[in-house]
Amino acid sequence: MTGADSSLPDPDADAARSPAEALGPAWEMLDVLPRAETPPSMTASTIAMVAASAAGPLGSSDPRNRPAAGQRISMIHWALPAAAVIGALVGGLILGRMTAPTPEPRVWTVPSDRADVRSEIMERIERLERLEERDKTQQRERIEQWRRREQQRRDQPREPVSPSQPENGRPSPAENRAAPR
Amino acid sequence: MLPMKRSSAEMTAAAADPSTALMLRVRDGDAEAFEELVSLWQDRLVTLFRHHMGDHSTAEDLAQEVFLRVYRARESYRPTAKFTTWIHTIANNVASDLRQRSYRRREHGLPMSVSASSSGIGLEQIAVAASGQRPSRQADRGEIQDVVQRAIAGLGDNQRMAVLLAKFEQCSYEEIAEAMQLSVPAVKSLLFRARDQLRAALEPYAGEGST
Repeated sequence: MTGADSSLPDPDADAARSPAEALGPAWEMLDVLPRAETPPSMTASTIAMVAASAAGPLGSSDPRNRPAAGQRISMIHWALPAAAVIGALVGGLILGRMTAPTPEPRVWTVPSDRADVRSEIMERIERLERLEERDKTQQRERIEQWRRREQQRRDQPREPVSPSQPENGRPSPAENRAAPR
Repeated sequence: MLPMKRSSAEMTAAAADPSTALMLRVRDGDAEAFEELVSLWQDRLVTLFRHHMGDHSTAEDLAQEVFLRVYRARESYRPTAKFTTWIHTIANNVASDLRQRSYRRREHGLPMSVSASSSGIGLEQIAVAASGQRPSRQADRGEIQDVVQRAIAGLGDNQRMAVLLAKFEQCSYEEIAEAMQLSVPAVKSLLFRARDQLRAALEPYAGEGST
């Protein structure tokens, strides 16, 4: 404040009933001073500036929007036990998974190509078994036929054996020595 | 959001003054009311600061600062006085703060961009220039406007604010006194002395301003 601003009021100034009277002729000359016309965008920029300075959207800093002290205490009162229960559930789940044995994986389906291969192998095995069975049967039949022939041969009457011929049909050692080599 | 319960005095004040009604809605958290308030007041504040500071961009910055202070003080707003007086008080404080910062800058040798009075252009110089160049022809409006702006800029800071509040905001002595935290006699003295200085500066152009 300048010295003139803080001076005591002049008696003539006291007589003026309004500022217009106090200023006298200068009052009308002040009419030439232009009045500012701000662009509409200034309103938006002002709102944005105020919102940014108030650290958030308008109204968010209003304490009436925030819960009262009693409500905050009540929320804390319920939040702590709820957090403890949730923590216990999660901990139990993790502990159970860590301690339980890993189950054998179940085969719920057999791929179609494996099933085909398996059935084909089984068919071949059955075929081989049939062939083996048939071979055995044939072999038994042949053995049986051979036995019958042998039996028939035994049953046939024997021819008289010459003295020089051994009974077993083999030549005697004397005959073997006389025979030409 | 539900509005706060208002007293009968608040309801009376809101009914008497649209700005007060808007401000009470802002206090209740109505963002739309704040936007309306900005729209309603920004031209007036920019005009006030434009002639007080002599610079348009500074005036816009100061007007935004006023709105920011209004918003921050919304919860403590009580319509015990007219909203007009309340916002003028804030505007005067914003201007005073800028002047204080400017004075401190000047003390530290930094350039300042406040009014002509701060930059050393006195009314005496304007008056001498005007008397030496008394126009033989009728001065055009732009020329008179320039002279009046210089004359206003040559006033003291408080004189200038009092004159501008009276002229552009149609404030009474009491309203100016309340906005500037002065007594009514002090305001009368300010205006009386401002008249003398303006008369000296504008005498050559007297009678042409209103044409």
